Amino acid sequence: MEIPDTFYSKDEYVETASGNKVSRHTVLCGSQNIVLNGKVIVQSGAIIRGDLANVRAGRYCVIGKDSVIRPPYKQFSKGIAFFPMHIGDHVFIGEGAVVSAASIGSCVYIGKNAIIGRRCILKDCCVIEDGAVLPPETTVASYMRYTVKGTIEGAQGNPYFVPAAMQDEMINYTKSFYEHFVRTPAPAS
Amino acid sequence: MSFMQPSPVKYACSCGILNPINKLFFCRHCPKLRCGYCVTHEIESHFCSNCLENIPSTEARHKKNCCANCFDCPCCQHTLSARATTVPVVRKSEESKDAKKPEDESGDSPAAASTPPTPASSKPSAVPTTKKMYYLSCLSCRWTSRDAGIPDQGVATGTWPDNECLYQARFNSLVEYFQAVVLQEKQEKMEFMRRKTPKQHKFPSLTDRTGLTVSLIRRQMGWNDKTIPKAKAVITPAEATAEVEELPADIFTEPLNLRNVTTIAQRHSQPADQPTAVSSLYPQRRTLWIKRSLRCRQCEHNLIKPEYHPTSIKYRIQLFASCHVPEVVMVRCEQSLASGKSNAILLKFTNPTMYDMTIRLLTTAPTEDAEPAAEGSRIKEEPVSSSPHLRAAGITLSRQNSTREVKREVTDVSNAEIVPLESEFVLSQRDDSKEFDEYVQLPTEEPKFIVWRKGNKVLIRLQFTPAEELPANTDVVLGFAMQYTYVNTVTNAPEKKEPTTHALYSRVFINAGATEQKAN
Amino acid sequence: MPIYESVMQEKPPIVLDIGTAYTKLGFTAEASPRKIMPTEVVLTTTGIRKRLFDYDTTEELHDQLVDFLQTIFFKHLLVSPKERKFVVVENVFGPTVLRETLARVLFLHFDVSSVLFVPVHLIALSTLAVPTAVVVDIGYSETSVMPVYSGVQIMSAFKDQSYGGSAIHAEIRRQLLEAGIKDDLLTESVLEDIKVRTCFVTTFERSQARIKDQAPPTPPPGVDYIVSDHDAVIHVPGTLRETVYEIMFEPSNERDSLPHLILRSILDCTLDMRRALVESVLLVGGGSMVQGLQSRLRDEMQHLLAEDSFYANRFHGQLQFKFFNPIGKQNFTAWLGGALCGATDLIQTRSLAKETYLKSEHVPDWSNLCDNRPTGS
Repeated sequence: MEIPDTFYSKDEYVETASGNKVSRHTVLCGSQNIVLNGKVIVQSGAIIRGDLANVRAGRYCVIGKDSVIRPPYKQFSKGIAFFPMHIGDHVFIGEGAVVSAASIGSCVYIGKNAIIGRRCILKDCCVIEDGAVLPPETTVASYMRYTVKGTIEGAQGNPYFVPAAMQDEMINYTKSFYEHFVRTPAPAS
Repeated sequence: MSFMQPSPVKYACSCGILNPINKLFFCRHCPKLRCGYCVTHEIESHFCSNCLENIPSTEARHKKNCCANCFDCPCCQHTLSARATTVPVVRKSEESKDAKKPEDESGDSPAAASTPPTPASSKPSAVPTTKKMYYLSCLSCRWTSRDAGIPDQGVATGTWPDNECLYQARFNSLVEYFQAVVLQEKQEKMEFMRRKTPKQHKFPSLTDRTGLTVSLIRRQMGWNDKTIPKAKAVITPAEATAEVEELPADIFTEPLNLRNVTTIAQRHSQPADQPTAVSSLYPQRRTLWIKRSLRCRQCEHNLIKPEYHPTSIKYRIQLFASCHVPEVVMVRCEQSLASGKSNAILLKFTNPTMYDMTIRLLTTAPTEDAEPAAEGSRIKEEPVSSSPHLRAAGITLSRQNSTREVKREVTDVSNAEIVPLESEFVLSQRDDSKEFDEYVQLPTEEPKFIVWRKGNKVLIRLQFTPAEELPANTDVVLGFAMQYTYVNTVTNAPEKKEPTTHALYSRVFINAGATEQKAN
Repeated sequence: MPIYESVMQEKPPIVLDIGTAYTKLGFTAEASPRKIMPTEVVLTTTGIRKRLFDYDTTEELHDQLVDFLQTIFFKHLLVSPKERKFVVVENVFGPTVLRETLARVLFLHFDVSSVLFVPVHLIALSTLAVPTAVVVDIGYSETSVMPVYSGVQIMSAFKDQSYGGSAIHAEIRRQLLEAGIKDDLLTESVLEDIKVRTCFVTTFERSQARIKDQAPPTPPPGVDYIVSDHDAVIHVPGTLRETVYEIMFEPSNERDSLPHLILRSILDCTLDMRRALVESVLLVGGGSMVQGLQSRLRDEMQHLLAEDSFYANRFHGQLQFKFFNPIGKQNFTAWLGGALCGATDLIQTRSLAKETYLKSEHVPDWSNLCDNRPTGS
């Protein structure tokens, strides 16, 4: 199915020189620590906690509505320390997802309302189903699908759980999402 | 609307199963569509999905497909993480302090601690050194290896004990016993056959008829008999007993605490002992995963072959259908669907190949008996799959392959009448460089049904009428056969180097959505 | 040494025991199955999870078996089925369509080199290294009794009844519904969990007291069972814990409860076998792992021998029922037998080879006259 156009109002979104489209209705704490590498869409209601540690997102990422990006922490006897968080290219983070991963590879799909526990590692081309909850320190390997039930399925070459051409699919999807994310046309006068 | 949701457009694979294009593969040698069902799956490499280490297949077999370093929680099957604690180690001379060790250990915080706790002894002479100790902890359900009574280990990996099978010795003796019994039976049978069939000597000896002479002579010469009585296989058989396990008396009085009783999934995750008490659950070695390669059954060429390394996402061979077959994307229907009411659907065609394609939509899907005709138009004939007749006739094929699949009828039936397009149309080749150019649409003569064209994409308008008798709230399925020209750059015949052009077709089914509830 | 072994045995045969509820799978010459998994299949075409043996057409069963075996090979065993030998534990009286379809899938879809079908009762007995016993297989869909004498199954004395795991689940469900628990909480997995974690077979004395006396014995304490998916609590009454297994022992005019089944099966054997069979009973199958079953069976059958005139007239002498303790757990005893069998040379000599199968595309069966003509070989 073709991705329908998503319209946004000119007043709500800020477009940067590198093509990032960031809603004004977001909470970007410590914005000096947040790096968006271009053509990234940050939709309204999203929270990025750059004040805790650096957050870096690659090109063509989509950070969905009301999602929370929070760098992971580790507890030591002296206290806790936060670690920077890296997000690769062509990553889709669904609505309402809470992400506290240590690193997210490229071409990763995170479903709606998924919760990624602290210090999880999501490798390239993996899928997190809608509503899945990843306990802390989970590793999801490439071409794996983490299901709502908490099981891991798939692996490269298994055609049933993650598309074999996941990389191309995600590149196409995030690119066309960006292309179809357009400003509301000015009312004809 | 992402590709994660079921796609409304489905292609019929050559085996007859409908699949969205991202689950299909295209065998360039046949050339046909293939799906996960009608290809052979093969194991490419073993790896652990947690530590992402590649494990050679001999080692994997030896380790019973388990990772040497990673463990799963016996309670919730999640991965266990090693946690470090520091315990003070008192010098050997001061043995009296040893008693304090376990106390400190249990009192330590579960989080990793890298600083030494306060010295156990205030005496300056006893300089306490600390040592890191590890235990396994599940961050999902909070189970720790201490719950199972496993002592903490000095190193994080490699030293965790395995729970062994209690009856392994008995099992081994059973295996030996049965092997001996079967072998003995076989020998007896052979002996019997040997005796039954008279020996065909060149010079039959009358004296040797009974076989007695030989053994007699051997004995006279002082040799032992040729047939040494084989040692009979022996094993102590199991004993039946009338003393069976009685029901514990306190089961009628003691309240049952479900927290201490394992669930069936927990029991089955430890098949050998299947403990009923939670306290006897043991960390389980994590099972490995595999990368698969897929192979066409007909021509035995690889369809996909992933790269070896677990962290690599690339393929050495990748023949995805979406890279070879024109992709049909449903954009929308012009009106809401109603039975018997004429409608139109917008479809986007994309050419993924480097050659122009001519596309023709055959509105009446060719029936199964029309298929041979279409088959004939193809350049390459499918290699004959070995049928039992062929095999019976003693014809050996170059590739011995008994696997074959029944072609099944395409199950989904179209329930809408499609107005055929007046002509075929051309899909231009894909050109990645054009993506960055400002593309100027040249005013060309286009057939009427083409709404829009850009690069390798064409949007067409296809008119159709859902069937009259269709009840409300049923999915309207449009079925058509898409004929397309495909330029094949690989050929099986080595003398032909230039690419050949095939006219291929695939049947496409589009679920246009549900019909509307009738207003009246 | 183990590496040397693994090199020597290039491809260990695969042993499969596909039960109605659970499938046991692993390799020969290993002391326990690699995995015990629900006999459920996630259809690759639609993503629906369903029981393997729920099917309408043979075609559907074929596709489900393909998907099911695909998961077994590539997710659990991690070996390619191609050119590999198989041992399949089968029910002697199982439907023909099942074994035919299974053979078809294995030979034609997965290209395996040979399949050895072994009967469940006989092969379960082989784990004991004794030749004679009454083998009682308490499975999910049914309970079957097969006497084996000197390594020969007495087919005419085979008995089966439909009480197994599923009947117990139905009973738990009935009792809980009566207690006013909502129907949608009582899924199959919840019922199964309640069964394995709380229920047991009560003693003979207590069950007699329950039947005869007006005042039943005080039930064991009840348990609050938490259904985490629905955030609900099911109170499992003590009487339920104690009485659900009574459906296997219910005295009725048909005299088809489990003790009767075993006794009648023994009676169907010739006179001189009976004593040996009475003194060797082997319980296998997941259903036999419940607490208290063996002692109850022993008491019940002993009681029937003494008190019931039907049996008292037919069994003579001092008889004492004796039970075998199987190695491993009862739910994979039959699998273990298959693993033992596959470790011997039998897998070379007795298997159905691919070449043989492809000639006729038919699995020889003991009940099929075509395969048992005296002239045919």
